[in-house]
Amino acid sequence: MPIWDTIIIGGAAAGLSAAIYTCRKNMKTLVISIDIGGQNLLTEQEENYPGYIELSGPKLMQIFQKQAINFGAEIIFGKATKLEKLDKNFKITMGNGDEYITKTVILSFGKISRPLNVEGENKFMGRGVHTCATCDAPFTKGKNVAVIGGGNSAFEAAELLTKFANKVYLIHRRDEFKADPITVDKIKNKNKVEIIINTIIKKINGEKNVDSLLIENIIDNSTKELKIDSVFIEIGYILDTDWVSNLVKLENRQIITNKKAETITPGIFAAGDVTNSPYKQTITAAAEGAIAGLSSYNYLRSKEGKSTISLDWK
Amino acid sequence: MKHKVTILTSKSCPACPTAKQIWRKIKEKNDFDYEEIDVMSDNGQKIISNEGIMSVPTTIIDGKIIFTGIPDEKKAEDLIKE
Ligand SMILES: Cc1cc2nc3c(=O)[nH]c(=O)nc-3n(C[C@H](O)[C@H](O)[C@H](O)COP(=O)(O)OP(=O)(O)OC[C@H]3O[C@@H](n4cnc5c(N)ncnc54)[C@H](O)[C@@H]3O)c2cc1C
Repeated sequence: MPIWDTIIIGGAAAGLSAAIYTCRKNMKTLVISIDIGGQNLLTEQEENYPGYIELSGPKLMQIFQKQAINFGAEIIFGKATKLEKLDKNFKITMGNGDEYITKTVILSFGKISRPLNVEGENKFMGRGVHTCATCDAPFTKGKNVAVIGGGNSAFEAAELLTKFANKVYLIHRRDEFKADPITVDKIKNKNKVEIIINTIIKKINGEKNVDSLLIENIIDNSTKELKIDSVFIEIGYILDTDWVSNLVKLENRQIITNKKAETITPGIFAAGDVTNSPYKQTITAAAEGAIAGLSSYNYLRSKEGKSTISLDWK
Repeated sequence: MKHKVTILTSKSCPACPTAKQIWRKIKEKNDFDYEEIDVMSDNGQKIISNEGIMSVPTTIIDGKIIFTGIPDEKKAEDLIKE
């Protein structure tokens, strides 16, 4: 089994930037990622990323990937599920059982869509349970659908769905919305939309596909079955860091790093939205990726008794 | 038997380029019939109504829906090698 100089988990702004830096230092670099681009795939216009006046998030991420590959990065698509420290190296295990050995690790796996964690959610994923309205709204022509959430993304999904669906329920667990008032008003006035507040989802029912939701009013605890064909979950993002908690320190699920992107375990670095950095932006994620890349290089140099570097261009 | 992989995608789907990238990468190393179909095309519309597809990206292998969402590269390649 080959031993990688570094394995980067997460192929988006932070991870691909880290790969550019490690590859430029001739480190044998593997990026393991579920997708390429992460949250930036959802950004229509990246208006605050310097260097580009008008560029979409997906396009920006394609350029990041091309740059990383041009410098020699290899990419494997899949989900990493376990990180272990061996005598000298680290072992990463994938959801599919594959294992990889590496001298250093860069954790840059960002945030994932927050699940509802109710029965039926996984079973019907892609068959009536959806997390991407722009992908799957066209499949709801003439159907009754529900959107779960109270933020801008939930209201935007509801608006898009009114173009296809017959009826759109927007279900929120509170009586106030995080979404901008203008966005809320726009949706409230649509005939097709019914807003259901103070309500949570208890179960997603169906046989082959979803056919109803079991919902509960949290004020009077009454439950009701709501007949729908599809449910779109738009309740924000979470950090899924439990699986690395054996080797890094967490605070509010975020990985604690210092200015050199180091974690408490020498040889493990972290960058981007997954860390406790106060700002969650593409440019800060990319910068932290670059720092993690250089720090992993310096870590290997120090182990070999060589002096560390602070520049990538000399 | 030569496998047949059909991936259904749409222009508005952020996950679709990665799904296509994975299949194209597997195709470089393996011999199988491969097609990418936009669900908005006539053929795409026919397939989604025949198969009851509700989501993109969806991968159909030898007539069966195998992956909804982005496939795991290894699982996908293993299926092609079977
Ligand atoms: C709708 C939206 C709009 C935004 N707009 C802007 C904007 O205009 N400007 C801006 O600067 N920022 C914006 N942001 C924030 C920006 O997208 C993030 O700060 C940035 O994407 C963080 O990058 P990252 O690489 O740290 O993580 P992420 O983008 O979250 O990427 C994480 C990567 O890790 C992968 N991954 C996750 N878990 C695993 C695992 N277990 N194994 C393998 N791979 C895994 C994912 O597939 C993904 O590729 C926006 C965010 C959203 C959601």
